Amino acid sequence: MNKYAVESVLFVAKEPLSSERIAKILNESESVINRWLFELEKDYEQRGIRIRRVAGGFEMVTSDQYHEVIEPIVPKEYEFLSKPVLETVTIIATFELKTSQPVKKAKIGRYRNVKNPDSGIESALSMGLIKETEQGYLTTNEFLKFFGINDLKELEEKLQQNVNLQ
Amino acid sequence: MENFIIKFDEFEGPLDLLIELIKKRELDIYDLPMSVITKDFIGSIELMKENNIEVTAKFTAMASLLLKIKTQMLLPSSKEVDPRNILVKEIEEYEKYKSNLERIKELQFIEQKYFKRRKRDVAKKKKKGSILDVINSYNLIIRKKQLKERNMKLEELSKKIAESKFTIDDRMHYLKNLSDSIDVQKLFEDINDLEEMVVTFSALLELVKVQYFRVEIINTQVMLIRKDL
Repeated sequence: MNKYAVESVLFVAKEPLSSERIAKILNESESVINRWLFELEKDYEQRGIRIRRVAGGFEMVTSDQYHEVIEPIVPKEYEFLSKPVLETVTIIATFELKTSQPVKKAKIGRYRNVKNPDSGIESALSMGLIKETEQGYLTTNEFLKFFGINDLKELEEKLQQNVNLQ
Repeated sequence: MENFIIKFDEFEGPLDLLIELIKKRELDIYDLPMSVITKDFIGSIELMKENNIEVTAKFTAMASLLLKIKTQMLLPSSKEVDPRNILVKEIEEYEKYKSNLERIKELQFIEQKYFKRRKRDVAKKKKKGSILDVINSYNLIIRKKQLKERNMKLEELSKKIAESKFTIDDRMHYLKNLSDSIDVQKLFEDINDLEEMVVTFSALLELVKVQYFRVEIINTQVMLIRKDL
């Protein structure tokens, strides 16, 4: 077995795969898989396809450099979030980052300036972007996948980057 | 003050209006002149009312908060803890949220530039159906119905077995003591009673299932051999 076995697994995977999962599939130790993944990430740095870390896993995506080439030939799949859903997930992610605690409905209502925040919460729940706990709401792995980020720490870094620079 | 009204669409909430007023007057949020900002705020919502723009409870609540802070500022105790702190904190948190919202909105534009393989599923979903699909689903239903009928018959049979003179437990005991290896064909040839055959067969299946016996083919004969042998 070598790193190209990992490469082939990543190529067919429909979801980001954790190194633990790949280790199980290939019957190799996780430390070996991690080394191969690291090497593959490097190999792909200059390619039309990248290996990136999303929601604690690894996935293959096309390089953002060539999006204009690809856009005309593939059906548009990415759907932008509606305003209520975007506001809801932003509030939850922001406060989850700050306190590592679930976010209560009252807080969502206060920041969103709407009489009733329920429909935004319902939509976000049905899209799997957030989950309900007894103490409030938390973001999910789906949320990370939707924004193509590995964890909330990465989100924090991206939020701190100057909005106008990107 | 009229110009605030024209731009009112932008003010979703009281903090949006408050922040806009602070910006217009170029005020320092850490040292807000409460009487000025309170007057501006209340004046703006009065004008909103005159122009038939709905002033929600949140706007009036903010107006009360501003008035309350303004009064507190006049008290001597305000020297210890600045009553404006709560307002400053709210403004800061709200501005942070607004900038996060803009940034997250932008992350969508960045993310849509990455394409993944899983998009191939789109083609599958649109697969055209034919009369064959209809026939297949018809056959599937027929099969399901037949299965249901058979299960009902089996159930009836097992009821009968339960009432019969042979029990599966007895037959299991019998088979266990019979021999370490049993020739299946010979076993059944020796039984003449149909009911006994069925119960014995059930007992045999049970013993294989619990791995008491394993099945082996020895010289084309199907044999049951005790597992521990």
